[in-house]
Order: sequence, then structure tokens, then C-alpha cells
Amino acid sequence: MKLPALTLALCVLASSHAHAQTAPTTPTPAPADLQSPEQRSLRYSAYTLPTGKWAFNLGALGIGGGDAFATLGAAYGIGYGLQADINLAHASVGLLNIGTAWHFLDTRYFDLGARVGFWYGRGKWFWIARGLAKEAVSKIDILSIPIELTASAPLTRWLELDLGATYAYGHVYGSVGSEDNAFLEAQLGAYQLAFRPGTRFFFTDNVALELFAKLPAFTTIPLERAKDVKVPFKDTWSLEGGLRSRFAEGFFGNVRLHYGAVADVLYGARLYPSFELELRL
Amino acid sequence: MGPYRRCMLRKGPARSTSLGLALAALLGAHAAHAEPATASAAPAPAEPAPSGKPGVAGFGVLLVGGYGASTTSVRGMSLAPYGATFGLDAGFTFRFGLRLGAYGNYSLGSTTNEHRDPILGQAFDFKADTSNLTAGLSVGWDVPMSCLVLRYGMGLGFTSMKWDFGGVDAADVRYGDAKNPSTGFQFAPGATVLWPHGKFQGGVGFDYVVQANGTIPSGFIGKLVAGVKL
Repeated sequence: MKLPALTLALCVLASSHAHAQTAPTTPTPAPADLQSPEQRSLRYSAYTLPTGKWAFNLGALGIGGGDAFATLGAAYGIGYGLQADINLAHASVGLLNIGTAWHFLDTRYFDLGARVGFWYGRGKWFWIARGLAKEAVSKIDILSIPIELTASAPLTRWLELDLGATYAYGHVYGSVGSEDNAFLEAQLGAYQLAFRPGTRFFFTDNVALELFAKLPAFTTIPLERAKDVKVPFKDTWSLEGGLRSRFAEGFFGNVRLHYGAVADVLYGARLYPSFELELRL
Repeated sequence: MGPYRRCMLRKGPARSTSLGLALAALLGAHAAHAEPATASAAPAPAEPAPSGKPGVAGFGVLLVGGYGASTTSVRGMSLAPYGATFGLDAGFTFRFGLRLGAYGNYSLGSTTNEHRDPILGQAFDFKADTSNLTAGLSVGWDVPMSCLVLRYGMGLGFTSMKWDFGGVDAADVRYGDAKNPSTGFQFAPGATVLWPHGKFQGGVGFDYVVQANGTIPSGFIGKLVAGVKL
């Protein structure tokens, strides 16, 4: 395998050399890559859709509150950096999941955005639960209002740093028989302050590697008729690594691996994949 | 135009990568050529979509070799039906990147030491030997990435897992409802970085096999692939 490895290394170095020879000395317009306004990722970033742009997402097996289980999302760029979105997949199982985002600071190296979500889960309508889980879930309703401030720093053409701070107000209405309730363990109704540092490496104009960690400072599940449940850090932190690519103009694909206790709760495994397709019109 | 030549002629920011070696070289190269990102508000001129890039289209056959590990337990047992894995993956990629294919894998699995401590009766140890055969259809997308190709894939198929608990009755280990072999639907998202070189292509990747049948554990398989593209 020495020859292929050598060829591969030469390939990479030659590509760098070619760039060195052709690198312009004067600023040039940005190419339409994954950092451009039309194509950049809205996930855990400060960015929103450009004015008049629609985005539709189809995914499964996510572990975040906004994309847990399945995603069939629609989002629209309203203008002035504002965006509205809804996850229709959650609506189909009795979870209202809507949100709005505002990209309010837009500079060359630093961007700020804010997001507010409104999630309401009606336990009786959560038809995909079965057996004991269905019985437990049917007795509760869950409200969650996550407020997120995210900073994105596109430092170079190949590197972007992100840092999000999320405060989620949550409340659980109704009777909870035990703490072993999937809704609760999935932290869907949690009262939580969490930080989410992340890094994106843009390998080419159409491929990016995205790495994120969710680091909750505290997580409490407020119960209406019982003592609040404090969830320890070891059960709330999680890691996520994924690849995002542009398949065609306006069409993107993602595959991710998640690691954390919350994935164990939702899917029975600490390490779990998710995937997502995005269409922007 | 071969993939190697394309790589040499690539213009724009040098953002090549492949595996650990390429990543190191890549980041080094980018550090040298780092440019500030342009203002995000600035409209970007349109660039041709990656569809139609040469080197992606065609029929390909890959031999697969890898190693897998279970990521879930089953009825309190840490069954290991993955382990060393061998298989075949064939498919056709259209010019715009869509790939339709079929795959078949056999995993040798391994024997695990299990323990049961029932409410009634004495605790006992036993060995669980499992292996599995999977086959299915796949849909994916090939994304040109400088001199490499990043292949996204989603396998949809069936798993047949053989199991042997020695002389222990399956019902005594809460497995009595499972047939032998135990079969079920599976889907397997994954990604593979391929290095095409003429008609040869090789690479490294992973599949995460999600099992719908609760008596078969899900698993993560890291794999090496090598084959031809016609």
C-alpha cells in the first residue's frame, strides 16, 4: 500500500501547490460554497435563511429536542435576518414544534443569532408510544421554550467556530408515576442551561465536517405534582460529529453520529446515527 | 480526465482531504493559504453544481472488509453478531451523483460470556455465540471531493442472525420468542471516502446498522473497501 499512500499524499500536496500558484493577490468574490448565505448550515449556527428562501428538511433518528426521532421541517426566510420554522413530523405525533430565528449581527468574522422555540407535547396524542410507555406518556403534557444565542465565527475559508448558549424553560403538566419516563429522560421538558461549542471544517466547496458538544450547566425537570428531578451532567452531555455535503444545487445531505446518554434513552444505544436531507428553494 | 489529473488541476482554495494523512496535509496547506472569509452578507456568484463532474458516474463493485461491534444489548445480553465482516457492494452511480446499489455482508460474530441471575432459581453463566448475514438494496450519493469521492449511503435490507446459547434453553434467558436464525428488517446509514485511481477504487468508511427486530443488536461497522469502477 506504499504506492497508493504516496500518490495520495502527492495528490494533496499538488493540490495545495496548484492553489499557491493561482492564488490571487487581490480580494475575489466568495465562491458559492457551504459558507455562502444560500448554503450555510442553519444547525447550531447564527445564520438564518436569506429573504424569500424556503428550506425543507427530511431526517430521522435525531436526538436534539428539535429533531428527536424524526424531522420533516419547513423554514422560510422572512427578511431582515428573520426566519420561521416548523417540524411537521413532530406535529404528526402530537408535538407542536415551531420556532423563529434572527440573525442580527452580520460581520466579516463574527455573527450573532438568536432562536426561540415553542414545543408543546400532548401525551395523549403521542400515538407512537406503546405499552407502559404509552400509559405513562398519556398522563402528561410537556411545554418547552428554548431560547438560544449563537455566535458563529467564519475565521477562514476552511474553518468556522460556533458557540451556542441555550436556556430552555420547561414544564411538565400532569401526573408522572415514576422518573423512568421516556419523555422526561429525553429531556424534552427540561429546565436547562447548556453550552454548545462546535467547529466546522470545510474540506472542499461542497463538503464539511461538523463537530459539536452539548455541555449543560444544569438540567432540572420540573414536575407539577412531585419534586423536581435534577439530572446529573453525566446523563445530559452529548457529542455529535457529522458530514454535510451539497449533493446538487439547493440539495444537501447530512449524516451524523451522536454519543450520549440521551441517545441511549431514545434508541437504546449511546452511539447512534442520524441523517437528514435539505432542499432549499 | 482521470481523478488524479482533476486533483492536480483543481482551482480555488486547496481543500483536499483523505483519511488521517490527507487531513494533516490538508490543514497544513490551508493554514498556509488561509484567507479571511468574506462578509457573509455579500451575495455569492453562482457556481455550477457538483452534478456532472466526471469520475462519479458508472458501475462499481467493491469488496468490503471490516470489523463491527454491537451498540445495543438484547434482553440483558451483550450479543456480538458483528466482529470481522466481509461482503460485496455493487451499484450504479448516475452523472448527477445518485447511486443505486445492492449489498451483502457476512459477519463472523463472536462468543460472549453471559450471566443470568433469575428471581427464582440459581444464577448461572453461559456462552452466547452469534453471527449474522445481511443483504439489501442501497441508495446513496457520490460527492466529488477534490481527488476523492465521499459516498453517502443508506442500506435497506434484512438481517439473519444465528445464535447458539450452548445447552441453555433460550426461554431461560428471555430469548424464547426468537426464532433461530432470528431475522428482521435493518437500515444502515453510513459514509465512505473513496479514492478512485483509474478503474481501481479503494477507501474507508462506516455503516451503522439499525436493527428493527429487538432480538438483534444494532451495530457499528468500520470498513475498508476496494474494487473496480467500470
